[in-house]
Amino acid sequence: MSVKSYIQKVKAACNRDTEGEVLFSERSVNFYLVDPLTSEILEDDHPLKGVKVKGKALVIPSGKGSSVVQLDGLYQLLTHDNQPSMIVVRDPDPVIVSAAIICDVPIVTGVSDEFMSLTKRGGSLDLNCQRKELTLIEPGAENK
Amino acid sequence: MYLTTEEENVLNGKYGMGKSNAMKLLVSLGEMFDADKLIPIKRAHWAVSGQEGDLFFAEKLANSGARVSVVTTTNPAWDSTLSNLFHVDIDDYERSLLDRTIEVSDKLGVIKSFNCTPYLYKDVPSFGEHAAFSESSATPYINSVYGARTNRESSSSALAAGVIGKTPNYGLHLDENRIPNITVNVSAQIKDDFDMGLLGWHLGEILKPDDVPLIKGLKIEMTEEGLRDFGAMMNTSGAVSLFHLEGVTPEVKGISDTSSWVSSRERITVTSEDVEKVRKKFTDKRGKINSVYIGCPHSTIPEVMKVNRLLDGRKVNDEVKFLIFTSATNIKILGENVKKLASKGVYVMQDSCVDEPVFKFTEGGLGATNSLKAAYYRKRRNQEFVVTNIENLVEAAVRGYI
Repeated sequence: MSVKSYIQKVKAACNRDTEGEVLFSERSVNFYLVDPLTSEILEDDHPLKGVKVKGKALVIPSGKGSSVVQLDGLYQLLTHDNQPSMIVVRDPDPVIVSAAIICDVPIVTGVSDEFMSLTKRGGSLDLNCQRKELTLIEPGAENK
Repeated sequence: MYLTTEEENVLNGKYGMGKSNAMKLLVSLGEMFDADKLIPIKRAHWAVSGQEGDLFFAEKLANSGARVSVVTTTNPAWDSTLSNLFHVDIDDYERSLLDRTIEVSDKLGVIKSFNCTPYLYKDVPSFGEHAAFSESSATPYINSVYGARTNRESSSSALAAGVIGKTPNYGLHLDENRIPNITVNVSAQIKDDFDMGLLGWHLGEILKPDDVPLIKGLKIEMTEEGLRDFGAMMNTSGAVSLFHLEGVTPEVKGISDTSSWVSSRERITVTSEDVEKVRKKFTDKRGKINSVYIGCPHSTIPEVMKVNRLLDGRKVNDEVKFLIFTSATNIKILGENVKKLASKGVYVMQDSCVDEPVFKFTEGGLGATNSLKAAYYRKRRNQEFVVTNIENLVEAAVRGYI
């Protein structure tokens, strides 16, 4: 069986290549409401409540939360080595982008709607930082 | 993004690594958001809140010699005298965050205003002025109510802009991004400042971050508190940095027929049902309360005096800590009134944010507040809240339950 992958040029603030299993979130994630010790999403009515973000390629629609807390939340995850491997955000804002830059978590935007919706099915994402290319490897492909 | 030779020099460390690190963040942001160049600013607001993530970056700048080059105000942390007042055990770590905040502020040369509403009275930009304001109520307020221009800065990008005295030219600094792309018709009955907060929360949930709503149908007389809370709540549940209120905010005031101005035909309606849904989500608990929190964002003088008036000679229940958060400036102007309120059981405090460890004596119990934002963030500190308007808060505080 052939491995299905999709590749796209993106905008990224990064200083290294990175990869991670896709964690697709229909809703924004506020890192302040992620447990720094377990990396579990704590927000009550969040569809991903209880899911861990550590090492994941976190795909979110947008940033969320007041100007301070995204950075502090992400920083707390970083100090416990529980940060996501990358953040892919459809509608970025300066808060989420600068939080990621300061915490040295590669952040990616400029991803097409089609590509975004493909990530819903899971799989893994691979970021080539130098070439600013994001590759989605379909779920199950790693077990080929 | 185009950089002048001088800006390149800053980036490459000719003026020290502090400035270089600040410039690096501005350039990375500029490139992510397709800025063409950097533009000068006259002021910045740094929403530092005594939290580690912020301090990590600020100390990195300060310790390598960065100082701000334009007036830069700060967000609240907490007033260190409160730990004695409330008999709260502050551990070394918590104390160190406050000490580090003060120390790094001095090193950076920022104004230690410790207030999240600098845009009321103290640090007011003019129409069309470019600025870099972080803080979830400050950004929408100066954009929308004053017609100044700032992006939704993070605390760190605002600090970096304060150090460099410039900000990347993208987003809300550009004319074309300030035109509304969505019309919001409010059919819900919005009666007071508190309802403005509910409406803001709802809109934050349904609008996208780049949306610039043109809001129609509001029939109440706007107050600075209502406008403050509208923006603050919208930027807690979501991220909307500029709104236009028909007949109120300056960028729509001169335009008689706004229908042709909206670049998109997208329209939404907010019904009473929508607003009631938010109200219900935050007000479904009832019982004995241990605290009342007013002032997230910081209270205005009329709000403090309103509490005084509503108490009308009565005292706050012994079991309830009634906390009002405001600026040092307001405390000074309020003068004797602060003491009078204290004698009725109301603590009017300066320099402090609801989301700080010195208020841990209310954790674990039920509180009451007029701020959806306070309720949302104090959840991480294990405190549930009933959210309602100031009138109801005062009655609840006297009774001891809600």
